[in-house]
Amino acid sequence: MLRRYRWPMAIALGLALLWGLLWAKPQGFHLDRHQQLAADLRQMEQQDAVLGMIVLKIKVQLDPNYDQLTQAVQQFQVLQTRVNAHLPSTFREVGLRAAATQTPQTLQRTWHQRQMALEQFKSNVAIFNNSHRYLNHVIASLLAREATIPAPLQVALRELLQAMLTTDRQPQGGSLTPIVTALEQLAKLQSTAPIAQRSQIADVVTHGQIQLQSQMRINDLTPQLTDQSMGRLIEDILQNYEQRYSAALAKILGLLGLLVLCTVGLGIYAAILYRARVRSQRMAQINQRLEHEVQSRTAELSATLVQLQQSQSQLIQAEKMSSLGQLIAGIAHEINNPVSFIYGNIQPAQRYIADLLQLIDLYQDHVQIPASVAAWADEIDLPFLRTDLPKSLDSMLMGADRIRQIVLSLRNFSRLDEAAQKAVDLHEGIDSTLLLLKHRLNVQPHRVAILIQKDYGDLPPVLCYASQINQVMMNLLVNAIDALECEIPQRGPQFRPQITISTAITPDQRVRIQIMDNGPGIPELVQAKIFDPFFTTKDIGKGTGMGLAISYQIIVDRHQGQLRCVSVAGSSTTFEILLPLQLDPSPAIDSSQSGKSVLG
Amino acid sequence: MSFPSALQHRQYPRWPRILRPLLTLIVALAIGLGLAIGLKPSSATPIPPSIALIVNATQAPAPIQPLPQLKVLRPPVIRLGAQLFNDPILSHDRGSSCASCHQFNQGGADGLPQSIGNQGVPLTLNSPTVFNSGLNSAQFWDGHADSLEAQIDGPIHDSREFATDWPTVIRRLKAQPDYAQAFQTIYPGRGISEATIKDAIANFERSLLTPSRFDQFLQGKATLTPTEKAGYKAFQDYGCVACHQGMNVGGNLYQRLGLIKPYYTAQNPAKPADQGRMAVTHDKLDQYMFKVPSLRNVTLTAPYFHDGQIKTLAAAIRIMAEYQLGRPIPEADIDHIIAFLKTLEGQPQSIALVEAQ
Repeated sequence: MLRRYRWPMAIALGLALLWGLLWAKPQGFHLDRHQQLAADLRQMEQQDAVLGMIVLKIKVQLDPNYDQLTQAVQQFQVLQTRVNAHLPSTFREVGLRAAATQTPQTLQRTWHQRQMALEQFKSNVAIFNNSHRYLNHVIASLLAREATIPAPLQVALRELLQAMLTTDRQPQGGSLTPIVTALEQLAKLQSTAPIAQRSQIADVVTHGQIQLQSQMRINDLTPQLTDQSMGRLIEDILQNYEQRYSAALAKILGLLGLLVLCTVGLGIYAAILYRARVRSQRMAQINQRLEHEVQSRTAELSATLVQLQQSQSQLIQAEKMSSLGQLIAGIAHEINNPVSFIYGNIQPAQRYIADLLQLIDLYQDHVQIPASVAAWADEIDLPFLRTDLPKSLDSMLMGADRIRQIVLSLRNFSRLDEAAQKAVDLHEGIDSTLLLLKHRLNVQPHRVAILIQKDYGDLPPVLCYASQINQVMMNLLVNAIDALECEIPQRGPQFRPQITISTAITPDQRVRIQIMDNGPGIPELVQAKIFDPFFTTKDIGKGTGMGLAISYQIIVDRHQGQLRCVSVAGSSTTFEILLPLQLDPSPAIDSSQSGKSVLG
Repeated sequence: MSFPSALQHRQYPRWPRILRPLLTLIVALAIGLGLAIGLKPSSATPIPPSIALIVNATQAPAPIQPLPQLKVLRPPVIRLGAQLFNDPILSHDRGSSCASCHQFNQGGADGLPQSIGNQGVPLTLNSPTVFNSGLNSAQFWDGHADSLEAQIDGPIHDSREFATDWPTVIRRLKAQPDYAQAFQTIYPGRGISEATIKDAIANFERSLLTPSRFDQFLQGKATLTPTEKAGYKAFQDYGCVACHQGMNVGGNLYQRLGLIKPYYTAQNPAKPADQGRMAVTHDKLDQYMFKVPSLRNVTLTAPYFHDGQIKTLAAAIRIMAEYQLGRPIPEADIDHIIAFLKTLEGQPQSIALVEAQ
């Protein structure tokens, strides 16, 4: 059986596994994370430009505080942290394994350097701003009192101021040489200053140096802070990543397409399986119906066959009964007349013989008997003859009477003149049958007599086909006798074979006739078949197998009665006939009609 | 349909058998789906922000800017942070909390040169104020934490401070049903963790902005006395504002102590704790570089400097003038500057919120 479903199961399993794989594979691809990472990287790139811009603004003193820079750095830091956290897994998803570990490190390192540079930038800008402001202030205050300051010093101070103005607020930070030159000049002329202003000039030199140093440092830092090297680095990472991402996305989309195809395939396969199921169900239904039809047809046919057999046996039986009945009726009629002559004439003959014997007596008393006559009288032993002759006649009368009785029984049994049903005394029929069977009940050379026990109830005349009922009685009694005859040698001298015939009216107004023998009983296996036509347990040639079948037919079909057999193995068998008191003619018509339809 | 084929119906598959491939299919699908769902890792979503700062830019690009406007998005986070901030459960001996060194009635610091640690031993540096610390570009004097969240790791692990570790802290908090429930409500799906504890405390700290009269002045909502105005002018003229600028009047850059003139000399030798940012960057250029502190509430947070060695503000200004600015500031101007600095005093904004619970 399994072999038959190996392929459908394998296909289903394969498709389902493929589906699961196709479903599971894109689950490992986090589109949202990719989008987030790409967005973060782009924002970092932008933020790098923003940082550069802020740095320039601070440098040219458009931005007098570091709030914006601090905020921008913090934002960049947030992005950087997020990118570093998500980049490795996201990169690995698109196959950038080496980059997944290197890129965060590179970014981290670059950003760290950038932060350090920014801090230095802030510190130096603060230093520059402080000194620059102070220099402006102190030089202005010195020049305001130009009378007290020697002219070369004044020139030097003015040059420094000039140099500061030209290099001040230059985004790209021009050459610092003028400041260097001015400061050298100033340092040389420092000693020429009047004592009152000497400390101020010294301050100018100190702050000038500090300013110069910070300015140089700022000019060094500015290019690397504004060259957007972070941005370019990120751009490179992004380009590399986006190529791989597009490829990976295309692959995922392809897988999704396959998934859709696989789903459709699964759907179609399921539909095919479903259709196959529905078809097989329908097929099974059709088959069941067909089988049912065949069974009922077979049952009908076998029923018809049984009925045909019954009809046939009925016909044969009817034919047999008909001819036997005619024969018996003819014999009975033919014997009836001569027997009537004999029976009718014996009584007058007795009277005549008595008269004649009286006459002989008178002759002997009153007439001398010649010797020849006396000798003849001695010869025939007249006294014996006188006593024996009436006895002979009595015997003849008895025999004639018996012949009459037998003829009457034959006529009762055949009843050819009574084709229609008639109310009869069932007891009379039973007695006639018993009479016919008397020779079999009597003592036989090899066995004792079979005792008949009659237990008749009070029966009204019953409307029935009397000859048929008699036939049933005959069959049942013959069977009982046959059974007992077989049993007698088995059971020995103690056995008293007996048939009990009992009749009664049942509470539901039916006649019940029970014929019970104390024979061997009928085995259960055999009980089921006893009413089947041609079934017999008797020796070949002895039984026809029709007796009980015909009996059953007569009782059940013709009389709407019941014929049952109750047997106790080893002790008794009882056949019970139940007949309705009033025979309803209509079912008989029905049964004949149904028989016709079946045959048709 | 012919009779004989119909009679052979028992050779046709009956429906439970035909169902077998279908069942296999369904089971396989279920396994596939379960596998797919099981394989999909939950993406870590960031904790949503609890506060927003709206920057009030003045029209002129002035060096000092008013404080941003505080908008509390998730008040329960702030309340939880305040509770944690004040709870000694965070320290190993349950003897100190964040509030031990950052007292609200001491301007967010503790008024000591150096805070006293858990063993009664002073720490090496002066406690900076917690007020407005969210506006700093980095935390600690040497800036070794770049956020308030990162800052918390310092005191937690420092053997002289809380002397504990995160597993212990988390275990302790989980043992307290009210904390367990508060965290579960505020951080659904996360509960008590290092990240959520840090988030609550750091956001509470971020909410500790102290708007002052000077902020109102910058926004044209208040006036300064002539002395204060003179102080503000002096503050700018002497160059203080070169470093003490921005919303926090400092706190967003590093500067060397002893810029014009060396602060540490043979007479005043530097201790290990005085190395400044060099401890972080290991760059000689960063020696004695310290974070420029915010001057908000500076009048309330004596003593001064990273080591808390300068007891008065006037003294601090004098040192600044000498070593950082390279010129003396007359005493009259120092008084004015102090008057100006007093206008930067303020009370933390979110206290009302925390106390209102």
